[in-house]
Amino acid sequence: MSVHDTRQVFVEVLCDFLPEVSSGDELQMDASLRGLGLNSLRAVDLLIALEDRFGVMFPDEALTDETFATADALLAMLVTLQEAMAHG
Amino acid sequence: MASPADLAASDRVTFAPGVALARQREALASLAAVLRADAAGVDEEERFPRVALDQVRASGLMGLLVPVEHGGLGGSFSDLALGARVLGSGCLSTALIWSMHCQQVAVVARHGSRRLCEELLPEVAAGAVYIASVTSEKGKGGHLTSAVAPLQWSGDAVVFDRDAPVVTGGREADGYLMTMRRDAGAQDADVVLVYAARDVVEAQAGSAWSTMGVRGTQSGGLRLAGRVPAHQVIDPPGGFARVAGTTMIPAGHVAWAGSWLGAAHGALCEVVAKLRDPVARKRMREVDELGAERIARVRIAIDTVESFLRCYASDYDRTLAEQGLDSAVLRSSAFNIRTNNLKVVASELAFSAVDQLLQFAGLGGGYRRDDALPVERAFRDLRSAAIMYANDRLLVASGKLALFDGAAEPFVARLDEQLRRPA
Repeated sequence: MSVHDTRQVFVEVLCDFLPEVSSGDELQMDASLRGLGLNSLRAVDLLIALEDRFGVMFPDEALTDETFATADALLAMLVTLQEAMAHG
Repeated sequence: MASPADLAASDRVTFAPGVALARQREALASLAAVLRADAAGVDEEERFPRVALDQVRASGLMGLLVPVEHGGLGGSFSDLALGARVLGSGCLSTALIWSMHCQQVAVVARHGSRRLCEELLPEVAAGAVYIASVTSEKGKGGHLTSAVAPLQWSGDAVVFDRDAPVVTGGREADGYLMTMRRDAGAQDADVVLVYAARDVVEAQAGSAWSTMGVRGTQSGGLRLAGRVPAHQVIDPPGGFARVAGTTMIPAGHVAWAGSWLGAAHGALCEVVAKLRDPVARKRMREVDELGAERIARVRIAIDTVESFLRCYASDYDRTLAEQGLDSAVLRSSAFNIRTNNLKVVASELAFSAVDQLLQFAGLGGGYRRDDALPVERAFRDLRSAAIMYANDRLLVASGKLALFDGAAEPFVARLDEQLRRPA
């Protein structure tokens, strides 16, 4: 999957868990996800949805505020996991 | 499956004496992995886990409760709880066998004659002697502090002929610690203990062991006859009631509770790992809200037992350190009730945790027999917890004692109160 495709699919999945955002076009990648309505329960569901979609596995330690600070932060972690999987 | 010969000397797990087990978790985890590797086979074939126990022997863990001065690890009850928990997560049968051995070791170390300790404890620490507990007897229904068969005293030796319907690991043990009536003229409640090595005993196997779970414990019946020197009788001041109340029962309950907790905790960790594994979880049930609640309740059960056990063991270790075995705290109703409650709570909640886990995991993930996800085996194993030793007896005792423990406080409150009093 190309970086562009990853980003596009990521945004699609993410928006399902942001009640304040109705489509990917509206999403600001550097906005606070908590501010957009992502609470800790949705965060768990979001990680699981991303795992199902991308075939990666987030470590337990990923469930922190830093990971979910912004969409960019979360996407960066996803990409890191993808790369680790590709080289693993 | 690994056998001891397969493991190179450098791979063997060993424990350092005088160091808390909590600081030797890697060694514990390695040992648990060895147990886990054979647990399904032990269960399937109803056989004693000799390979696993050989590894435990080689590691030094058989000597956890042997004082360092006799070559042991010098462990506390907090160490006992942790050791039991980690071993229990690998193989509950092995953990229970080790638990009961440790219980006997504690009794010998604290209440045995100097000569018995010097002769026996180094062997235990070296892994050469696995001691089985002989306390069951026909006609008394599992009541610990009474005995029927009497010792016969003959010069400086004692002769025994003991028939026990339930002896964990009896046919594999290197030695036996048996409850006996003091002599033919004594009352049933006048109990002493005697140690006998297997090689001086004539042993006849009794009833076979074929049960729902903990099949590896091979707790069939045994008849033991023999003669040993009198210094192998354990009959300290305060009698067996003191041995039982301060040492034997607390050690047993701590180690069993730890073992059961480990089995339940292990089952939970395996299920959660499957739920997190991207491939495996496609075959598992989705964690919707009902699923999340079920898992939360399993965690509640496990967290509760863990807290209770850790608190009990720590309070006990502290009491022993501050006041020794003759502390009035260890004779109090508050202590006896707490000791009973530990066993009851751990047995009920550990089983409940796995029962709920099985309900969550369903047919494919829990009810089906599966080496990779042994929830079904944990369920069968843990159903024994409330029965061995019967919770019903403990509950009746606790309830009646509670009537005369109006303060209903943790026993350490009593310790703290005593420590605050001017000397």
